Amino acid sequence: QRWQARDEACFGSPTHNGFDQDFDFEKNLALFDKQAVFEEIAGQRPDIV
Amino acid sequence: FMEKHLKEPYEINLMEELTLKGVTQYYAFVQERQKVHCLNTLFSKLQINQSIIFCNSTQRVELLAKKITELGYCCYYIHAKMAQAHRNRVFHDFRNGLCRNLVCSDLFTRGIDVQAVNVVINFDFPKMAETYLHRIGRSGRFGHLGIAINLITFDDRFALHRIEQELGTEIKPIPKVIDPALYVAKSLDDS
Repeated sequence: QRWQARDEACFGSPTHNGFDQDFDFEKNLALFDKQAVFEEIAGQRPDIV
Repeated sequence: FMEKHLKEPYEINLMEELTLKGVTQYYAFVQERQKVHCLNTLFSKLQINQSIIFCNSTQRVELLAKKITELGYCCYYIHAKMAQAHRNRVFHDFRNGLCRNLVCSDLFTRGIDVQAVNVVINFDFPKMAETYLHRIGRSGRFGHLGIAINLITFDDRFALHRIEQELGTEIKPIPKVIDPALYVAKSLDDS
């Protein structure tokens, strides 16, 4: 079920919808603070060195 | 077990033959619904000689190959559910340069050794470090320039963290401009 939802999200919409503009890499990268996320992951698993 | 049954074994570690050396690794942060748009932009911006694009399921290989064709790019696809003979023929044609892009699932057990491939895209980020190495790594003999671009969703954060740790490598955010010197071979005309 979850896979189906993923595939639908990824491939479901018509291909040429809004592609006249380039994908905004920088704007999207700003939504993911890798360092902070990694610190949180590391903090959640103190048993793994 | 080894000491009991093997007489003077010759030990080799096959993993060591695959190297990430020479491959610059980047990630783009995306949502599932943005992946095709992101890929389309990569196709238009990168100087791709030949590319291989990996998906995590045979179903997604077929769906993506269809999308890429709709976008107007030539693409072949192979996955595990196709007959071996058919797969061999497609791969043979790809190697001979009949088509620029190949979409596939995880079929390569020894890394990719097609010299002309200068861009590898993980449309779906793998879960295991070994899978990542097989997709991106080059066998030592052929270690040469290339870039790897990983499309990362928020769900992939644990795998991204684990794979960087296990392989002792760093996957950097994709820069605004990627230096062609990192992956584009100098043409003979320039020299």
